[in-house]
Amino acid sequence: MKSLIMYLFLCIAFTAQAETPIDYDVLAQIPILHEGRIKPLDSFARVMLKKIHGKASIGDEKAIAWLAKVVFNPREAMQQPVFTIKDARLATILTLPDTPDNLYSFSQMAKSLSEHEDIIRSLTAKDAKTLSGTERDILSLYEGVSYFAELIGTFSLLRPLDEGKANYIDLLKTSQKREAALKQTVAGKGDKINEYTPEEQQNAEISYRMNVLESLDKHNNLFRIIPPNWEGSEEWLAPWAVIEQGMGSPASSRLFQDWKNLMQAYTLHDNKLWNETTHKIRHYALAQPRVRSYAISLEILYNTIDPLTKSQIFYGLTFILALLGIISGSGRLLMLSYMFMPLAVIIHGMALLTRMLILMRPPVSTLYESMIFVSFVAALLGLCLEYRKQNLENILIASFIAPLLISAANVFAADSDTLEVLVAVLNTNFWLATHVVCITIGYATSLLTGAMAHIYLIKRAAGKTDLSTLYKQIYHAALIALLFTAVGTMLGGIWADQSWGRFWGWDPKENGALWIVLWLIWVLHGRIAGQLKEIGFASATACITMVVALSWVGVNLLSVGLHSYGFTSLAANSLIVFCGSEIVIISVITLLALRKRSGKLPGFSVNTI
Amino acid sequence: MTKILSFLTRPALLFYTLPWLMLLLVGGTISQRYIGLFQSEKLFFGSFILWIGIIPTPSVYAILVLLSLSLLAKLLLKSPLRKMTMGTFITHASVLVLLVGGLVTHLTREEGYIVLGDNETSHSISDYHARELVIMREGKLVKTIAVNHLHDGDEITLSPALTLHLLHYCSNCEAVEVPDASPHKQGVAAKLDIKTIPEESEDEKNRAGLAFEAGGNRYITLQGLEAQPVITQGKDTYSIFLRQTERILPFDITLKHFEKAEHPGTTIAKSYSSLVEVKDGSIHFTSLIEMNQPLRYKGYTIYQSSFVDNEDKVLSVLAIVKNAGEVFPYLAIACLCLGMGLHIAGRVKSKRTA
Repeated sequence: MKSLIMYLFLCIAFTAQAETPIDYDVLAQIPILHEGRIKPLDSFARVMLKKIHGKASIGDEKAIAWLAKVVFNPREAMQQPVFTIKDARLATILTLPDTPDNLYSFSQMAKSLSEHEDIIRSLTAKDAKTLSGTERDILSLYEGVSYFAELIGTFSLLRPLDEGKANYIDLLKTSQKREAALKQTVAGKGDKINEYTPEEQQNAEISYRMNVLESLDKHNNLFRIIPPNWEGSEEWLAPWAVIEQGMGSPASSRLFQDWKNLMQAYTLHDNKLWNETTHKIRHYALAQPRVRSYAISLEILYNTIDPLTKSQIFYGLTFILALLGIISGSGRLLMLSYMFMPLAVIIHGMALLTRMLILMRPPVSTLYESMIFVSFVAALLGLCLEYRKQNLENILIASFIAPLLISAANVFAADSDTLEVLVAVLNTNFWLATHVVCITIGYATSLLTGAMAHIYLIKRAAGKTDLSTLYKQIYHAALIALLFTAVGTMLGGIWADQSWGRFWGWDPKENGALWIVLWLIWVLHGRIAGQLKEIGFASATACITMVVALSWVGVNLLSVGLHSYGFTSLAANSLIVFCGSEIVIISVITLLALRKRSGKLPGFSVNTI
Repeated sequence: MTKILSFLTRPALLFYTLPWLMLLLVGGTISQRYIGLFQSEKLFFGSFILWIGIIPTPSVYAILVLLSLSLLAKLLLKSPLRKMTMGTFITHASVLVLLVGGLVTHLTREEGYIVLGDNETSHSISDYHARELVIMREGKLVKTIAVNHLHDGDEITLSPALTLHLLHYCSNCEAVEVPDASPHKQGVAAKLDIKTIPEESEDEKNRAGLAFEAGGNRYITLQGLEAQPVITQGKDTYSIFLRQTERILPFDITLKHFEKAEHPGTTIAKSYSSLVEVKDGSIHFTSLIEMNQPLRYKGYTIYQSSFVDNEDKVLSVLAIVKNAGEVFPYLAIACLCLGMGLHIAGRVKSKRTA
């Protein structure tokens, strides 16, 4: 029995050793130039997989493992179902068979798209603004397939082309001689291959293979892992581009050899060679000028931890615990919610700080970034107010708004979150740090103010009358929101004056910001002058959430102006649902509050504020 | 007068005009998708009256004038300067400063652009919107006429023997081929005519055109057309064409070098800049104009606006603005921060005292 157990143990141990999985950690840290920025290969893999698969992993398979498969073992990768098509109409248009998980392999996609080339051609000729959702999806699929095709061709020049195991680069050295010989053969014997000698036949075949490879891959420049070895250039190149642009050097030649070794180690599951080579390539690449190794490490950490999702979980926990605590009156639950909230804010803040250190700019340049920044400001302000007031309302509001905004960022603009570089006009840290930060703080305070007004109306609807503290808080929050949105809007005007020579141009985004300012002025003055009573003021202030949503995100629906971002139909529908529900909620709680109205608020009157 | 002042200082005025202003803002913003910014600005934001069918309603200018007068009246008559209300007073004053700045800008603003290649010089700017008819004799400017002064049937006398009879002007036209090659149609008019088409949503895309008669012959000129009418009368040769209105600068500007930097491996512009030389009499200096870093000289501000990537060379597009109201927004924002800061601080203080 003992010997049987020993035998089984040995078998397991031996099998485990034989199937030791490849360690992708070091490969993930190798820098690559993508979308104008040097980033770790892990980020590149995630971006590519998101474009193709819609998610940053395929089940348990990490993006970096998938990428390694695509570039080192294309034959296997081409058969893996990875392209996601959720829209059944799209599958019908492209005559793709039904699959249970809506996943298709590259082989299937490439075949289908080549059969429907005319559709692609007509869509690419159309104005992007006039494309329907399905048409955009077809083009997006086509883009994904093109990226995949580029990736599988990355190292085709390092793979053996003939029986002697020579690859394209090896054969390139003798190509002139071979071409001359082939010309001579063709001149003498024409295209009668049967009459060629074995050597001539081999020559012709190699030339043919090289030509095919060139026609397929010579424009391949996606996998930019070769650093520039020449003065005055910041541009990293993909292996094929190095050859095509004649940028070869002893250093790039050594790198080619390293990547070839890596490919061999992957194919043969040679972990020792794999580890040695990945370390070697990473060490060399990190030593290159303009590569900030700490930024690469931070980005890997950011990708691995996914701090925004973590903070979202803690916000959610805070909200649930606080709500349960209020309902049940349990001090323990409330204490727990008080513990989770600062934790969520700290993680959220660290995420923003990490993004700042990676990009070396304020974290507010894209719609996605502005949303996660606004959610942070709202959470932080809510936490500070809770610390001062300790009335549980602020913690509830903040822990509700913050995760909602992070989710909205994922719905509205997750595709654009590639930690992207900025266009020239935005490439100014001063204005990003002043105007954009100021206006986004204005958005956050406006949303908090609106949420407080919701709570006020709900409490009034529930028959509570002693709400003077909350009422004053709404007024003060609205004042602060007005300060930030007004100053932010004017700073935006000054930035526009510096960049384009005009303070105000009636651009949709400018008008949107002005709309928020005017709305706040209207409710504040309406209240001071007595036109808006308590419930009217709270009701009008509650509507600021819709004004902010429409001004901040809604104006992008118009696809006009200087601040136009990309926009999806999903985002448009979400916005309609949000505004529709807000109208219903505010109307209902206002009507209920009006029915319950009974006399003035004790200890507080309009004129004393 | 008292009644008017009482009306202007009434809080209800702001309460009922602001929603209308917000509606105009929303209407003007949404309409940009359908009619473009230029038309939308004319309709909603740059007029006193907005016609809804046959009903005249106040447009943005009218509302802004009313709000400015209300604010002024309130500041002068109903805002006693006290320590407690200082914040509110300064905040309201900042809005007035901004509105006055808008008025000054509207009245004094001149803007245009220059397109220059490396080592090219210019001392005039082209207007973005205004257009003019230019008449030159032997390469020298004789006359320019703003297109809003051109009316069908008008006559322009260039010499006792040469008069232009204006047949048809259109603010946006297209060239159409004419079937009959009449000997009385000269130049491109022998083959082409102009046809009025609807205006583009972006005014810069409109091509103005003019058909006229001179010496019994018919001519056409169309913006963007290479061949323009040339009329010979005796010893003189006249060339006649339409262009964006040009304004003369009090200095020469030479582009020494334009540089466009892209983020590596992309076509995304990282920065672009123009090294220019300004010559003003005995004053010579060079300056680097970049995005967000304009050159200011003699009341003009010169911005790096964009560039034109031609096949043979890259041209720099510089926007040039003269605006006497430029300083007002800066003043307004300083007042606004101070005013609202004081107001909020006052609230916090009074709360603590209470």
